[in-house]
Amino acid sequence: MSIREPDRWDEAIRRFDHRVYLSVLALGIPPERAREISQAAWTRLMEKHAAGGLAELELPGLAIRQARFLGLNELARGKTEKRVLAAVPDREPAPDPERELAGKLQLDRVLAALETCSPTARRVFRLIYATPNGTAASAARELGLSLQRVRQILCETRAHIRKTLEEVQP
Amino acid sequence: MKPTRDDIALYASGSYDGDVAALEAAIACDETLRAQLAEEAQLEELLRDAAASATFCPACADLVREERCRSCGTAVSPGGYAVERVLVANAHGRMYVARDADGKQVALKELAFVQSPGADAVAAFEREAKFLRALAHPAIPRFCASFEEGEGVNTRYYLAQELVTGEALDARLEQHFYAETEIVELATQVLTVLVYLQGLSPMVIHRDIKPANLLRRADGSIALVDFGAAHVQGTTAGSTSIGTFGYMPIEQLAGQVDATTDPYALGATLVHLLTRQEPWRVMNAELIGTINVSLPLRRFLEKLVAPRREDRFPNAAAALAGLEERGAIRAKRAPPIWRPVAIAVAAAVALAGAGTVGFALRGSSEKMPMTASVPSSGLLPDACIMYAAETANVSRCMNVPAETRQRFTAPLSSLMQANIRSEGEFEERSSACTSMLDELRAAALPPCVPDMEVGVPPTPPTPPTPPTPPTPPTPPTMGYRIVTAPHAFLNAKKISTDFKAAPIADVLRFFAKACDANVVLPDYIKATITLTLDQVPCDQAVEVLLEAHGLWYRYIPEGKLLEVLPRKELDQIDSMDDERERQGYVDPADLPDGPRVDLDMKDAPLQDVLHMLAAQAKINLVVPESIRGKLTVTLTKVPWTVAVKGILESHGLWFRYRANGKVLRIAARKELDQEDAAARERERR
Repeated sequence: MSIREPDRWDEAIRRFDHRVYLSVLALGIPPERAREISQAAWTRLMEKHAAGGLAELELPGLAIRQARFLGLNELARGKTEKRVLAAVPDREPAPDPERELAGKLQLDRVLAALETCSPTARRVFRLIYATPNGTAASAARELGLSLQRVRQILCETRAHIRKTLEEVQP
Repeated sequence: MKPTRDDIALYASGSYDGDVAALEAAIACDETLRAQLAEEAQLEELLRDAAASATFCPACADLVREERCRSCGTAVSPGGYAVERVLVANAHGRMYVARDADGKQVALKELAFVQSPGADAVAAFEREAKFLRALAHPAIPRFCASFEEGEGVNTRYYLAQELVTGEALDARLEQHFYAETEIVELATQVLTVLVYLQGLSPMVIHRDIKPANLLRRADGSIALVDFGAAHVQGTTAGSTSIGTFGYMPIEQLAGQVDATTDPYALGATLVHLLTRQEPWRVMNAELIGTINVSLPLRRFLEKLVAPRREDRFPNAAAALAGLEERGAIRAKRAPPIWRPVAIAVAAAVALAGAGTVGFALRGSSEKMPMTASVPSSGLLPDACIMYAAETANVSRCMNVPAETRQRFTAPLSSLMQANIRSEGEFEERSSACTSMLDELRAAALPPCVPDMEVGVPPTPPTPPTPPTPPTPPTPPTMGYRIVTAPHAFLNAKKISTDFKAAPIADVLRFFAKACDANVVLPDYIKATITLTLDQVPCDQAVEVLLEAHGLWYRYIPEGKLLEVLPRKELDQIDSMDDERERQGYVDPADLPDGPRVDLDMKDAPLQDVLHMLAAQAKINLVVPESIRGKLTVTLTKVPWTVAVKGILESHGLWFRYRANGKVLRIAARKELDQEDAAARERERR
């Protein structure tokens, strides 16, 4: 996503904050601290943008990188006392073919695992993850199921995919 | 609180609905839970990335990881075309809307070889590709590409062609009533395409013209599709029968086709659109003779679909010329003033089926194409009703010489006699009235000066009157003001007439036209009337007529609408209205605004009329099957709400309207009253 107008920050945060937050949680940082870090990441980006340091914003990629950078810094702080906090560069680091391949294989495994789920589970997956602003509630409405049932299907599907990924990993 | 793994998974996916603060506090102080949350957060990111990179079936939305969907078999990107949606799917294949590499939309036809491994299907597919590649006409989709994919039983043939966005005429028929003008326009367009096809060397015969293969674009132009059955004359002389039963002439069943084949199929298509019945049900001379269209168009249709080849137009060019020669396209060129009326009437033609329909006449000297309607219940031709109405106006014009007035009023008594026994007599009477009407209009009489104005000096200008105090506003009564007596029903106009044993429906239609009023009459009111009037004011004439037959009327000034009913029924309606008023009842929701209504119908089915009115206002309609009946209605520029309410009231019906769903429910008034009473009782409890 590209943002050129400052007044669109609100919309960007509303749309992508959960992903940014997740990226910090994925580092093993507690929820409360993860929320602070994701907020700090947004603040830094806004400041840099206002100062003219960012010609174009690629979201949510840049926000996630910034948040992860802060999160990793937080984790490292316990080991080394002094570390300079800075904004991450606004360009994606040079692509690493091996990492890209590994990421692609990982996605293939997820989709293969998903293919072995029930048709209803696949529908729930599509409605929550592949639909703009998809939520469990909107999926429940679309499928005519109770919200509780949709949550249950979602948990079963995630457990199945997690198990599949764990089996593949050495 | 000890969160479960599912709680953490739902939290990570943003779907947790429990106490978030408590959950976060529990995670914050538990290393294991933090690790689990980190895993779930990673998985969540992975799932979102997977969804972004996944392909979903454009037809059933299931996950697709191969060339086609495992669930429904839909192809995802055959030949590099990105499929967007499925237009049609059947046992032989599918038709997709797809985008090519340049982003241009095409119609992509797929032949599913695995389900129909017949050589005929493959031959038809290749034939269509061959023809489309060779043809260039704005009404024929352009060829883009053809290719095949897969091997053996997995072979699929594809044909990409220009996407024609429009509605097939058979689908359109479900919600559209074809007017005669539209039929003529359609015939002209399709015949023009056929002239092009027949002008090629060698001549191309489509062999499968039918409503499903004619698409109407948004601009009204017609496209001819599906050349899978097309044929080059002279290439084969076998007995292969290709086409659709009902639309093909008898010899096509034996594989014989020529330049009359496609015009015949067009004729069958037009008959289908006009009668709303499959052509094989109505394709005989007797039944085609009953189609309610103008005589020239009927003769044209009869010649198009003549059973013997030698009786048909020899080719499309001759048919196109015949369409113009027979004057059938006059309707298309009618001046704009007629168009709304003609459309309304044509819709009624299709609706009424067995009824007769007339054109509303609104004071123009333009010649009007007359409908030579089939007699029904001894009713008079529309031309006679119009002639009588115009003559009634002439008879009071004192500035027209007496002998001229006499010349036009004298034939009335014989023309208005309802002694018609056969279609021949009906057409004879219609023709006599038409010629008299033409003669009357050709006489170019001066603007009428009624008798009361003759010799009266011009009135001096009146001095300005002092302003009157504003009258207090009257409470609205459902936007539907009813006047029973005293009334101000056009009493300035005087009419003269001479009916002998004429149906009351005809006489009232005559009054409606002559007095610039509108009328609704239920079909169950039957009477024949002999009536001679000379310079009688409109209101008195109507009242005398109705009173003599135990009838009376309610007058709605907003639409100049007369609801005619038996006196007893009107009394009952009045007493029920009083009762409702006494109970302080107010209709829950009034009707929405709609377009002004032009209708002139005799013996039209009530359900059809209601559906047509609903369609005009673009609202949904619910009518119980039990509500039946017919009516005669003459409306000119009547507000939509007045028309609907008048028609409902004259049949003891009423409505409930839900504005949020635009749903109009019709029910018997008594039933609605009972529903209201029950609701009030529930509320009281």
